[in-house]
Amino acid sequence: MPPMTWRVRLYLVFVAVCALALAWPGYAWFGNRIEPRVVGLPFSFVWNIGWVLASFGALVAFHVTRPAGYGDEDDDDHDVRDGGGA
Amino acid sequence: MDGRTTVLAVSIGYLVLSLVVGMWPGKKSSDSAAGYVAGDRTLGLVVMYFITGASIFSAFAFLGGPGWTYSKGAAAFYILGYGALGFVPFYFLGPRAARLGRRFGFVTQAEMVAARFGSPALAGVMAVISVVAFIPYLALQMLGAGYVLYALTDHALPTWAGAGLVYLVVLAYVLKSGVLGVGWTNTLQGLFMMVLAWGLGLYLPDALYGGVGPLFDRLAAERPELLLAPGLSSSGDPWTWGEYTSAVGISIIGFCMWPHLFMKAFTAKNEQTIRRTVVLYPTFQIFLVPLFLIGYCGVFFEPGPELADQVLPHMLMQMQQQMDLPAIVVGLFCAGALAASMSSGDAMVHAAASIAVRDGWVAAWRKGEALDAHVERRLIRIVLVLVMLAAYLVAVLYDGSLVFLLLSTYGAVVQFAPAVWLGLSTDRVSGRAVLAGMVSGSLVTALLIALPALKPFAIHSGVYGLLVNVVVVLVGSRVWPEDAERAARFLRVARGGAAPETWSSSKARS
Repeated sequence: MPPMTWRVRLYLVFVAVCALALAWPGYAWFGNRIEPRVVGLPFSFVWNIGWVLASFGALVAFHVTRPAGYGDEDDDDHDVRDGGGA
Repeated sequence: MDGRTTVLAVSIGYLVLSLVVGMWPGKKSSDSAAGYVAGDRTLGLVVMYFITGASIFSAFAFLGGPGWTYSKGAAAFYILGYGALGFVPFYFLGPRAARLGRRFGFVTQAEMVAARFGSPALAGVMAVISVVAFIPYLALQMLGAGYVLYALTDHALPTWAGAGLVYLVVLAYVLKSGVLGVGWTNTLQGLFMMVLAWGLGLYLPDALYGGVGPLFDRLAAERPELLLAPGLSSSGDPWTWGEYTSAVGISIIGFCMWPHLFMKAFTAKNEQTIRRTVVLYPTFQIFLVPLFLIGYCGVFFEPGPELADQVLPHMLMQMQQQMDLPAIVVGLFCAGALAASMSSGDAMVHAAASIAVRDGWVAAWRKGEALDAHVERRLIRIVLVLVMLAAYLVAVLYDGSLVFLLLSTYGAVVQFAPAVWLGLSTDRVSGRAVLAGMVSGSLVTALLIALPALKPFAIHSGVYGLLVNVVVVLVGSRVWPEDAERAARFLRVARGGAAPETWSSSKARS
């Protein structure tokens, strides 16, 4: 099994951070407050929306930077065996 | 035509339209299980996207989301939380499954797992767990449909009758056309739901409170506990972080283990379609935001609904009668919510029946000895009717919250995760170990759902089951080593390598 690329490592780090931010402890410590409000919404709500958007952005980046040959026919996604280990 | 008649007419018109659209493409799929179950593996990005989105944003999202926000506040944010990552594993697992499906003809998750581990019994166990998990999930969709019609008819049509009526329509179009019909119906419904959710989510705060800002000003002043996680529990007491966090975790891990979602890997045209669908999926998550706003709008709404999950249709009907909310909008919403219920319900009942027949009956009971394609298709249809009936019974008897019902079913499907994740990525785990892990994990989860007092900590029962499951798989794989050759052949195909010639004999042997 070939070693993981930096791209995959970076993405997995993001997934881990995101998972911690979505519930305890990240959310409880940093995101769980009413103020500051953003366009009228309480911060606890915006926090979650923000992480959904961040996760979207990270996956888009991960997807568009996939190496050549990561297409449909000879698609070898060996580098992601532990993918999504949230 | 008075307001309520217009509302009813629009909703019924929608049901008829979805029936027509749903039945039409059925003629084109081949008359085999691959045609009926996997749509001949031809679904492109647009249909895949809406099939996935609409299957997920079900009555659970449309009614349960606002219902939870209304009654439990920020506890509902867990839905956003797990949605942020829930589909990500599929980016990696989906393409692998698709390659295996194309090469070996799998159309269900359990078929694939059973072949990987050379264990027909595994398919049987997965079939049982799937059907057990699907029945309450489907019941939830039925209840949702029933709630909408209950509000729509001004309480004239009881929930049980409304649910029965709508699901007769679903039964008709699923029986007629299988997954392709499901596909096009969901495309229509998915578009519809997104437009409606945003429309109502911005309109209601404005009409009732003068905007989103004033709505939250009032909530912050009078009900601040609804704005802070982990929110409230079903009994109205504060929820705990342990329960919130474990609900997020179990849902992230369990999400793409749902057989009807996982099966989409086999219906997609190619791997790129699967990846793009996963990448685009959070756009559906953002559509949950207005639903939470709607739920919060209900907090100060007088008169309140009878049940929390009825808050959205209840508010709309009241506003249509008292505040000149246009009847056509209410009608379209009710249709949208019915659509949400139907689009998830049809995918589930279809998946449950296919799994019961292909995995339970053919793979496990008949040891893989194939049935005649037409016989199999007829059997799937019979089971489909039985599953519908069972779910309908649960729907009629259940009186709790929609979200709680869904959360419990995740405890069951999450038990597939070790088998699927490890089975598709390493040759170190063995069939017996996976089977033992899945059975023990499921039993532990079921026991703790039935007797929550036994739990040492107040976290989701599925976490305990999953821990037991993983430990048994890891220890068991040491005790009962894997047939490394079969596993390696399988993984080579999963990773896109050359197809092995010897697979069929090994499959027959197993």
